Amino acid sequence: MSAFDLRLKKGLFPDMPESYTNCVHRTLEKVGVKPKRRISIVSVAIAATAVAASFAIILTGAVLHNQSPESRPGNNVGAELPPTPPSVPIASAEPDWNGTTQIIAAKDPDERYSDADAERFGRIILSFLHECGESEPDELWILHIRPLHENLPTDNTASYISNVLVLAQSRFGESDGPDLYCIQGHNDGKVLWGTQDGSLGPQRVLGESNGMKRWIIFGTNSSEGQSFGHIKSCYLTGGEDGTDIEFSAFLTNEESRRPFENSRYYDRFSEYYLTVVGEPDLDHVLDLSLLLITDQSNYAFPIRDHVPELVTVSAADAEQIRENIDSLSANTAKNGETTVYNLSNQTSDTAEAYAEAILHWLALRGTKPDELWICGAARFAFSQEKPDDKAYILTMYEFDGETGPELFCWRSGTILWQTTGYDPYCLNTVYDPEFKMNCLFGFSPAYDNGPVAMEKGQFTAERAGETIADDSTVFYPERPLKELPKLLSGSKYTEWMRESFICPYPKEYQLQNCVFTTEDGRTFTAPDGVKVLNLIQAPVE
Amino acid sequence: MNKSRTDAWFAGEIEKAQPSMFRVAFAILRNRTDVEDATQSAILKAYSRLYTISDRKAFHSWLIRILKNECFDILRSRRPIARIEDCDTGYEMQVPDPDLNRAFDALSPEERLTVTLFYFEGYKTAEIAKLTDVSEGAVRSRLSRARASMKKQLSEKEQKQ
Repeated sequence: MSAFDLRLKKGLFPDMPESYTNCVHRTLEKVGVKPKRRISIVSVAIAATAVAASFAIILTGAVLHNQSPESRPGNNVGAELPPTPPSVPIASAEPDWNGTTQIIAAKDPDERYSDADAERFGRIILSFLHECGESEPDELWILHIRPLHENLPTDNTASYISNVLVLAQSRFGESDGPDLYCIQGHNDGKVLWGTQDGSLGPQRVLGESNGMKRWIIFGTNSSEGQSFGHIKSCYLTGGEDGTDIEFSAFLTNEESRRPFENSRYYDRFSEYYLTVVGEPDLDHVLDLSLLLITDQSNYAFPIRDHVPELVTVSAADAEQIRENIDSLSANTAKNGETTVYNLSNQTSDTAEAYAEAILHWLALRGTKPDELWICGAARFAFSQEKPDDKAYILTMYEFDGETGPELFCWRSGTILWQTTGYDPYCLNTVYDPEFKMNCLFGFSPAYDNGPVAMEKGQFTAERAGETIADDSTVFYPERPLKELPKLLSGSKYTEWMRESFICPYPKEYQLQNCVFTTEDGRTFTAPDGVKVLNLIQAPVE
Repeated sequence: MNKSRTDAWFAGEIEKAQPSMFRVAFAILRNRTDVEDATQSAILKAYSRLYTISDRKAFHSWLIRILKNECFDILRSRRPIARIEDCDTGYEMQVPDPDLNRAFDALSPEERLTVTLFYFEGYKTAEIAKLTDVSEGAVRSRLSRARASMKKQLSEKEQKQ
């Protein structure tokens, strides 16, 4: 046992106080169970008070629930105590159709939503469920921000709320739209259906009523400041015979958006109910896309596979990564807030130096990740393990001297941006929608005679003979990046960090014939075809 | 088993589980009132659902799971609490190692729970994963992060001294 473990064992918890023991005994007595140890008369008096108080609380909860346990449909648990709701039921909620659904909203710790907001959202969901012919829920839980698994009732509650349909909205974070899950009780809390998780596009739920397929799409969840606009027409494309499937669509009442107008998530509440006309056999249609023509732009969303392409790993690699976590060397970066994990097979010095360079580069973009994971050849497989909405993860992989660094920015399982290309002689680019710039990050010129630094007045980038960027338009970080190679001196990876700079966003997505001039007068040309990754819709200027 | 024997068994199990329950609740909530509220609710709930337990050997884990859920329910219903250094835990005795507790307090409730289950309650990472509804990898990651964070804080504190 290490010294730290020993200190942990000895110093963390106080001895169990007597007041706690008394509390336990009082509770046992309350349910009619005789505690093993006798307690004092004073304690009994206190216990009586506490029992009365707890009964009051429970009764209050039952009133708020507006249903006695016995009156709940499908409830077969007799005289059990009512479950504790996740927070405060909205007493004023008047469900849209059956009058029995209790909308329960988790309190938003940041107070960005009021109960009225939650109630409004709950009604929208109830209305949708009603239209889809879904069974009426006893309770509708509106959850914010916190990941699903930490909010939903566990088997304890679920088994009690038999025959309850629970809907949860989770990961309602800055980058994700709302997710909806339908969970039936019966012990296991099995997800019956849910919106696609980790999607960049709108979240959708497919329902069916009277032979009509229906979608509800919550949230545009496009990049900041973007919204759908108003739908003018919709098509389902990519049907089995290649023809479009017509269907009607209508926007829900604008009223439904108003509660969120003062919310930073206003744009994420563009609700569209899309109704398919006819009964397309969706089960046998591949690559079906929903095409929305709006007054702002056109959007196509895959219906079948709406999860962005994630980097996948073999089971063995994934397990290896997880194993590596145990032995990782966690170093805190210079900013004091980012934890760096070295999951690669590099030495900690190399990984740390590389991490410092990346963090410096990110700092120039005004970004400070919570965690930076330096991965080795194994690829990224943490999307399900990082439910924390605030987690901001960068990972580099294929860092093996052959393929160059790759960076991914993840938040809540979603790729926000990533570098492109594996070519060892290719510039890695990141499209920054905020600055409308491509960040060119690291390359590997095909010579190795020592560090090369970029200096002002020495940069030109051309495309097809035309200068598209030069020194006057290049943003140089305040810190001379020529220092970066020093961080890696002695490493065989020095060449990867030779240059990092940011050039203006070009008019086209590809760089061609980009000529770089180094301080010693050498020039070389970046390979053609460096593309801006278009995960976030890039504006065409 | 008749009711009286079941009650006696239940009381005995609760008695045995008291230290664990205290540590788990205290780790998550860090506040006397909430700790006792959560414990009370958990016992009431456990008793009312006792008939759902098919394997009584699993009672302890089941109870801890219920308690954990009660604690997080309480946590969700309140605003973030002040750090332990700024508030009275409500217990009369002092924590044995205040610096360590400050470092522990800076962890997330999930991390504090994971550390407690692993180091004090003897759960294996796979068991913690099941109990806390996350993957085993996430448990290991939480443990690692927690240790690193606490060590860093303690080290910084020592350097200042």
